[in-house]
Amino acid sequence: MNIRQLKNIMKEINEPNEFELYLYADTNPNYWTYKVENVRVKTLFSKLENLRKPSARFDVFINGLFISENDYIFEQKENDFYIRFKKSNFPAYDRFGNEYGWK
Amino acid sequence: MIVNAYLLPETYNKKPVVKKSNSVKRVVFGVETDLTGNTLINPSLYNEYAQVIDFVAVRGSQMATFVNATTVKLTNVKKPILPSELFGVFDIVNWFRVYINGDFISPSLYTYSYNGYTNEITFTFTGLTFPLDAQDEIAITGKFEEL
Repeated sequence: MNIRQLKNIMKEINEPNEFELYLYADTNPNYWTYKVENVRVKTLFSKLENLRKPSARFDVFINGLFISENDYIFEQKENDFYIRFKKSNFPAYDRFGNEYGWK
Repeated sequence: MIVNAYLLPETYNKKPVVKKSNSVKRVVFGVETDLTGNTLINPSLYNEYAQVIDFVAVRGSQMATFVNATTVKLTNVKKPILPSELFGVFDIVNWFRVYINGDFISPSLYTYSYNGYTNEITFTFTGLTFPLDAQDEIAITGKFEEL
């Protein structure tokens, strides 16, 4: 291992970034699917994989609110990253009694 | 194999035959220490800086378990020790990020303690304007290892 590889490790574990996903599909009865293109979760140096579980690799926020990992599943398809929010885990109606419409 | 060669003197016409010069390449020194305590078979930079790298790499994200109206806990976790190399550099105030029902909670509103025997980190909230109940979703991320 040389300095370059050491730098790569630091890039994997200490270079946070942020992406905005857009609504990809909401017709599935169970999920709202959001997508961002050309985004891939970084690979981790093998010796560090146990120190950062998949669920701790990223955080999900909706309008600034932290979303529990129990409320979504994520998927990587080629270079696109998908998050599917579980409809059953979100209230059916908002505080005004209107059905939730996701944008 | 036949090899033909000339035997050259060190000097010819009072001038040295072999001209030495400094290489334009850098001189790169390899690993000199290994802090892992393991046998030094395949020395690597990772082993030299493993404590710091591991600390930076550690990140947990877990839903806390409700204890009572002011207390929650993370179970089956390990809180890493801050390496001395990062004293004064790492932001210990934000060791954790706590979210109650999605809202970020300032570190000034809670204290925490780690029990290395039970592998639990207990968070006690002191300044919340509401009591916690079992239905609240308390998510905690930060520097802890999920075992």
